[in-house]
Amino acid sequence: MFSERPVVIDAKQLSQFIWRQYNSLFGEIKSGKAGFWITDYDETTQAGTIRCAGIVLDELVAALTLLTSINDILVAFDTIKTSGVIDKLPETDSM
Amino acid sequence: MQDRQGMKERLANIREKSGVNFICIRSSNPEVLNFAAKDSRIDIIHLETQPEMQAFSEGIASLASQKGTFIELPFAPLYTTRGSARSKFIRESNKILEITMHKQGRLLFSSDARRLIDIKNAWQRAIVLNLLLDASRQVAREIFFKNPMLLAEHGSKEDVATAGIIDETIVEDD
Repeated sequence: MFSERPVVIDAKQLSQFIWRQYNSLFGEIKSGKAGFWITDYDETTQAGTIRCAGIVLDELVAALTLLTSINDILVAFDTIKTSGVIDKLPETDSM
Repeated sequence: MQDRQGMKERLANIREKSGVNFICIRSSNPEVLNFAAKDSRIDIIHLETQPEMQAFSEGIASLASQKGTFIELPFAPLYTTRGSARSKFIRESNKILEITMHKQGRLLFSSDARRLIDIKNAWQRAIVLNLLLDASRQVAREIFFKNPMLLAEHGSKEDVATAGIIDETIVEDD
């Protein structure tokens, strides 16, 4: 996550912001079926991993792309890698 | 640009006079858009506001496709607007995308970034287009990867390119 200034937020709060964005884009029915959670998040580097079902990957990426502010701080999410196997994520070279 | 004659006068030797690589036009007048679509001096037709988007038609898309003129829409309203405003933008963009693809035209989505933080990853933007505007993955890839390359190759041999925008009130470099 890139931001204009550091965003003081933990993984749980971040997940709520993402959830709200997902809900506003795809509605309550879809968000009810979509399960995703942040497996690790480093508050210093603002980088982390989100685990989700394969079928909601695109929707989650879209929600992240359109999420532009957290606590009135402008932010931008960049998806670095995606992988079908979470343990293989550090080894994956491309999207 | 309000009328066709006014546009013709501004277009005379505009590329040489302004020293820009691309000429981009904005107008909510269908006649002006029609003229711009068949004029080879115009590289991009930019549609941003509701009247501009509503002025776009199949005829304009067809002419633009024949002349290789790019149709450009902004990406920013997808994340700067909320609720009904976003729905309206999605509906109008979807209509333009369908018409342009049907006529095999070349569509671009400008990042419309005012700040560095507004610049989005092209892969992510392609996914948004695929989901929100029902563009197929192939079309989304063309819009974000192939068409910008075509435009860059067509307009400039240098690393840096400038675009001149002609709209209803001003002519400026961007």
